[in-house]
Amino acid sequence: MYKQEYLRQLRKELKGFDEEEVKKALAYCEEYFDEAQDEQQVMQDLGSPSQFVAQLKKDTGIDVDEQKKTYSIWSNILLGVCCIPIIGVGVIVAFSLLLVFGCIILSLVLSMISAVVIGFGSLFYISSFDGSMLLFLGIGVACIGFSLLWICALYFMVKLCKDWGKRGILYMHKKIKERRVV
Amino acid sequence: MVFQLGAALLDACVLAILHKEDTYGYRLTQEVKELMNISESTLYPVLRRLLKEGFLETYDQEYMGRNRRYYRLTEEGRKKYQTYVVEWRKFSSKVSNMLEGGNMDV
Repeated sequence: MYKQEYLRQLRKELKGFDEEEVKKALAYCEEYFDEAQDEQQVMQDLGSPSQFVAQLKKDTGIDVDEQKKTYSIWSNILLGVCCIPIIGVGVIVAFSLLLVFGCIILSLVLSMISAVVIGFGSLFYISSFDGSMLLFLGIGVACIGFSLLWICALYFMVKLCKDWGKRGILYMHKKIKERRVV
Repeated sequence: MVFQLGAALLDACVLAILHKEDTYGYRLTQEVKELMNISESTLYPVLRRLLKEGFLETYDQEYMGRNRRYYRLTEEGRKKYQTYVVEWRKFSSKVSNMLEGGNMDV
């Protein structure tokens, strides 16, 4: 009675295995039932039908692993495809930011140089030393200081953006991976 | 039991039992059960794998009107058993040396 039920469930669980494999497993379990007097003990030795098949699958390995492998390859490709627009947008934003910062720095440097040239030029080439020269000199020095400060600020901003971006992408990757596992 | 029997050791034990004499699934399981608790992990996958790898073969014998499938070692299986024994001697003596070398008073 119990044996028949066990074998019936086992046959159901073994779906997907080829017929030869199913026949062998069923024969093994049926023989086991016939040998053992105690059905409780058979249950302990063989496990439930689903446990029995789970063990078999784990040991067979090949087909189950193969499935997992292709799955993970496909989901990685999918992940990559999903990331393309995000990475693309990120690259464009980074480039335009870099361009803007570059322009600002260039203009600052140029104005600094011109201020210095005018200031020092008026110092050395014109003998008379008046207020306008001092003004130009002051502007030049102020520009140097300002651009140095600006470069420092830019350096930290770029660093911050890089860290955040990296963390964001890593976080996203982790999340997607976790979802895949669940 | 504190110490666990790994997959290779389980293979080796099955081969050792069958090296002694041919036997069938139920009795084989009972013998292995003296060594380890194999509830939740049936011997069937192990036998199946050893058969597939050509270390075992089966033959059927009538017993009280039903069939018993006996397992026996092939020549390959015999060789495999011998390498397992050699490996086990090396391994177990190393482990013994390490475990018992720590404190001689035990």
